[in-house]
Amino acid sequence: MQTNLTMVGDKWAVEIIGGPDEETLTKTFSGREQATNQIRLWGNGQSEMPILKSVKPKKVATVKK
Amino acid sequence: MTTRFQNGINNSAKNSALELMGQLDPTKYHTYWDDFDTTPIAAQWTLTATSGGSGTSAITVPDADGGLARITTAANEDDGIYAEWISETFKLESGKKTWMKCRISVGDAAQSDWLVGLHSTDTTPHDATLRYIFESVDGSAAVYFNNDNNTTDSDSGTVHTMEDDTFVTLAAYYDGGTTIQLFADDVLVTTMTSITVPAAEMAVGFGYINGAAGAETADVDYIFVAKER
Repeated sequence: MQTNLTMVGDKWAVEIIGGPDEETLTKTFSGREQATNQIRLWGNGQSEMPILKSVKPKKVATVKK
Repeated sequence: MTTRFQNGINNSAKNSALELMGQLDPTKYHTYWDDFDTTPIAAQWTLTATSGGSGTSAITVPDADGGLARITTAANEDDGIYAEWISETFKLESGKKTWMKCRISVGDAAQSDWLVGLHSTDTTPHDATLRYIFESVDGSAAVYFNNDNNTTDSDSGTVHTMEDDTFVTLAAYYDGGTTIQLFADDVLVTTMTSITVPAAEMAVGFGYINGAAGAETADVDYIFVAKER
């Protein structure tokens, strides 16, 4: 699990990146301190990490015979 | 069985100045290596110590095989010391691979803030503008990798869970693109992706700060950084 903290407009966005088969989740916070505190809580297990959705497998085009 | 190359080995280009030299070209990499056989001194390092409690936070090299930078803290919470190389001499660059490796043991795995790596010079390096560091923060024994390019502040998942007074070897490999592989005790643990590394020079740095009252020690056995030229 990887987190990317970025300022988006006047808010702080935390991207949560899981494995290649999981969708990236973004959570926004009003302040940097609030965001970094939440990252810390996720990191030390005091707050449960959000569950990432599985990436839906792409539909494979079928060739008509 | 030892293989002997009595005339040496060379990796220089044909017709270059070092073509016939019987050793590998050391200029191909910018290398920092400190095994801490000598004490980090103020002429070479910026040392930022906090000693609110009894005792004095300091770095010494004790009598120990292998050479150690031993951090001893004063006795209050938030006492400790940071050392940063006096100049910012490493800039990570696209297209140039960089390796970083260190070996560290900390007195209190959970109740401490510590870091080892590269960061822009700052006497509070956990908040430095640019960071490329292994770190652990007070309240958790987890070590993670932090890449902050002053736009995006990225933390890896847990690379290692520290135990008190137990050495771990931590290493990071930047592939010259957007990926950082992270290793603990020479085993790949996790990979950071879509990373933009800091775009300006950084200094080698390390430090340990108490997260609770009571004097502690932390040992940094070595720090190695090498970047392709």
